[in-house]
Amino acid sequence: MILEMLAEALYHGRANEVTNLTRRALAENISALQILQDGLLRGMDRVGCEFKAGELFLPEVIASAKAMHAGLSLLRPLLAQSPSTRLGRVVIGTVQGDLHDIGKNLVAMMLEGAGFEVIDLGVDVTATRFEDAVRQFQPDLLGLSALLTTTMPEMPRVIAALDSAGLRRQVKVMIGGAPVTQHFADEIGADGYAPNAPAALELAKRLQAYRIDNENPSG
Amino acid sequence: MPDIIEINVPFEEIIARKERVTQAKRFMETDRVPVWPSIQYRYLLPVIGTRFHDYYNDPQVMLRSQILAQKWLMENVKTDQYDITGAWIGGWTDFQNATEASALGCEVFFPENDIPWVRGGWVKTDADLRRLEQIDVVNSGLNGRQVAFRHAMIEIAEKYPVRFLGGPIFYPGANPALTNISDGPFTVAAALLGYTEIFAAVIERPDFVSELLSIVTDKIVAWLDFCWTEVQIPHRDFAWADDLAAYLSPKVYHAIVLPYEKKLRFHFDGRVSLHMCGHTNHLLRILADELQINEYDGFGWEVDLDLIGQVMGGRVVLIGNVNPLIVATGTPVQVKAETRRVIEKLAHYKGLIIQDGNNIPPGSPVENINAMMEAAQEYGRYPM
Ligand code: B12
Repeated sequence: MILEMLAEALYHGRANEVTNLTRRALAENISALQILQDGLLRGMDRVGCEFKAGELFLPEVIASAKAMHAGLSLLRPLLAQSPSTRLGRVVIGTVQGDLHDIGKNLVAMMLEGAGFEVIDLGVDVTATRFEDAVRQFQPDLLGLSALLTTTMPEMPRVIAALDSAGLRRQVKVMIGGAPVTQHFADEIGADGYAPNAPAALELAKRLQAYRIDNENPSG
Repeated sequence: MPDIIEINVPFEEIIARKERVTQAKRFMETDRVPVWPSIQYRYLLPVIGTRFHDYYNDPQVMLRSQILAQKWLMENVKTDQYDITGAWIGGWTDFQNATEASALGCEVFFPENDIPWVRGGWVKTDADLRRLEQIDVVNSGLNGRQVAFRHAMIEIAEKYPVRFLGGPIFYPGANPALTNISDGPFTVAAALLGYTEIFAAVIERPDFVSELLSIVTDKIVAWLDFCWTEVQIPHRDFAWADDLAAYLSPKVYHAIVLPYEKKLRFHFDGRVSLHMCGHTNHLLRILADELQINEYDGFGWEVDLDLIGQVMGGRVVLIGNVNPLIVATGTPVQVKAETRRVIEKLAHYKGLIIQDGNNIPPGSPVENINAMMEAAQEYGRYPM
C-alpha cells in the first residue's frame, strides 16, 4: 500500500511526498531494495513509458527525476551495502562544438534515478577529455550526445581516441541526440543507440548486463 | 559605377514564383505546389567560401556575402523563393537567433566555423528580474551591433547593385532588415533562466516563470516596435518561433506560455507566421484555434500529417515538413518519396508549401534539395 503511494507520488513528481513516504516505509521495516524496486522504480517505469508514448512531457519527467533523487538520497546509504543494486558507472557528455544539453541532462537524471553512478562532463567535451575521463573514472559505459549534424562526426573521433589509447574494450559506448540513428551507431562502431531517455536507460541496463555476463564473469 | 551583380534567373520567372506562393497562401489552386527549401547561412557561407569570423565582424563582408550566397542559391537550388532581401535572407543584420538573448544579458560566443551561440542562465532570483527590467533592449548586446551594422550597410549599399535577368536594378543594402522576428517568449526566457532549469521551474515556481515571460515579452515587443519604426516596415505582418515550447504539455503551455504568445501575436494585426519544429502534434489545436496563426512555417518532420491536415488544413498555410536528415544523408529518390508523401496528404487542402521540416544541414547535396522540387513538378500539379 505505502509502496503504491510512493510509486504514485514519484509519478506525479512530488519530491516532498516521496521523501516522507520513503521515510515511513523505512520506519515500517520495508527493505531499501524493496522500496526502490516496488516503489520508486515502479513509478519511474510508468513515467518512462508515458514519456515515450508522448503522453508526458519534459517538465513532468524532470519533476519525477528530481523526486527520484529525493527518495534515493535516503536509500543510497543503505543500498550501498548490497553490491547487487549498484548498476554501474557512466561517464556522459555532449561532444565538442555542441552546446545542446537538455536531452543529455535528462538521460543522466534517468540513469542516476535507476541506480547508475553518473559522471557528467557537461557540454562541448573534446575527444581528449572523454579519453581522460575513461582513464580516470574507469566507467562501465560512456554516453555521447550530439544534436547537430555538424558535430556528429565528433562521435567516431571519440571512439578512435579510445581505440588508440587502448581503452575501447573496457567501456561500452552508447550514443544519442535527435539526428543520431541506429544506422549511424552501427557505422561508427558504437555499442548502442537510443532515441530517448527511457530507451537510453534500457540500453544502459542491457549493455551493462552484457558486460557482466560476457566480460567480467566474476562480477 | 560598380559592376552589377547579375542573378541568372529571368525576372519573369521571379514574378511567376511570387504569384505561385501568394496564391498558395490564399488557398488558391496554383499550377503546382510551391517549394521553398530552408537554407540558412550555416549552409551557404561555406559554399561561397566566406569565413564566419569575417562575416560577423565586417558589415561589408556580411552584405556582399549575403548577396553572393543568395545568387548561388537562386542559380543552383530549385526553389520558389522570389526575393533575396529581408530578415533571414539578405540585406539583413544577421546574428542568427542569438540577438534577443544577447541583448538581454546572455554571453555570446562566436565560433571560428559556425554561427554564434548564446550561453544561457543568468536570471535566477527576483533581484535578477528587476535587473532584467532595467535593460535597454534596443541598444544592448547584439541589438546595438545590429543597428551599427545597418547604418554601415546603408553607407556602402551603392557598391552592390543587383538585378535578375531583364529586371530592374536594386540595392539590397539600401534599407537592410533588422532581425524583426522573434525566437519566442519561452525560448528567450529559457536562455535567461537556463535551458534545462526552465523545465523544472514551470512546475516548481510557475509564478517566477510567468513574471520572467512577462518581462521578456515586453522587451521583445519594444525591440520589434523599434524595428518597425527604424526600417519603416509598411505592413503589420509578423513571423516568430518558439521551438522550445514544443516540449511542454498542452496544459502547461496553455497555462504559462500561451498568454505571452498571444500578447506578442496580437500586437500585430497583419498575417502572422509561427515556426515551431519538433514534435508538436499535441499543440496543433491551440496554435490554430487560440493563437490563430495564419502560417505554420517549417513544421517538423515528426508531425503527423493526417492530424495536421484535420486540424489546420484549409485554414493555416502549411510550410513543411520533409525530413532534413533525409535531405542531408539520403538519396534524391528518398527525398522525392518523402516529398510525395507530404503532397499526397496535404496538397488537397491547398495552402501547402513544400519545405524541409526544418533547416537543411550544411553539406547536404544539392541534388537532394532539388528533389523536393522535382517531386512537386511530378506529383504536385493542380488540379489534383
Ligand atoms: C533547445 C535548442 C537549442 C538551445 C540549446 C540549449 C541547451 N542548453 O541545450 C540553443 C538555443 C542554445 C541552441 C543553439 C543552436 N542550435 Co539548437 N535546438 C534546440 C531545439 C529547439 C531543442 C533541442 C532539445 O533540447 N530537445 C529536447 C530534448 C529532451 O530532446 P533531445 O535533445 O533530442 O534528447 C533526447 C534524445 O535525443 C536522447 N538523447 C540525447 N542525448 C543522448 C545521449 C545518449 C547517450 C543517449 C543514449 C540518448 C540521448 O534522449 C533525450 C531525452 O529523451 C532543437 C530542435 C529540435 N527539434 O530538436 C534545435 C536544433 C537541435 N538546433 C539546431 C541548430 C542549428 C542550432 C544552432 C547551430 C543555431 C540555431 N540556429 O539555433 C545553435 C548551435 C549551438 C551549439 N553549438 O550547440 C538545429 C540542428 C540542425 C541539425 N540537425 O544540424 C535544430 C534541430 C533546430 C533546427 N531545426 O534548426 N539550440
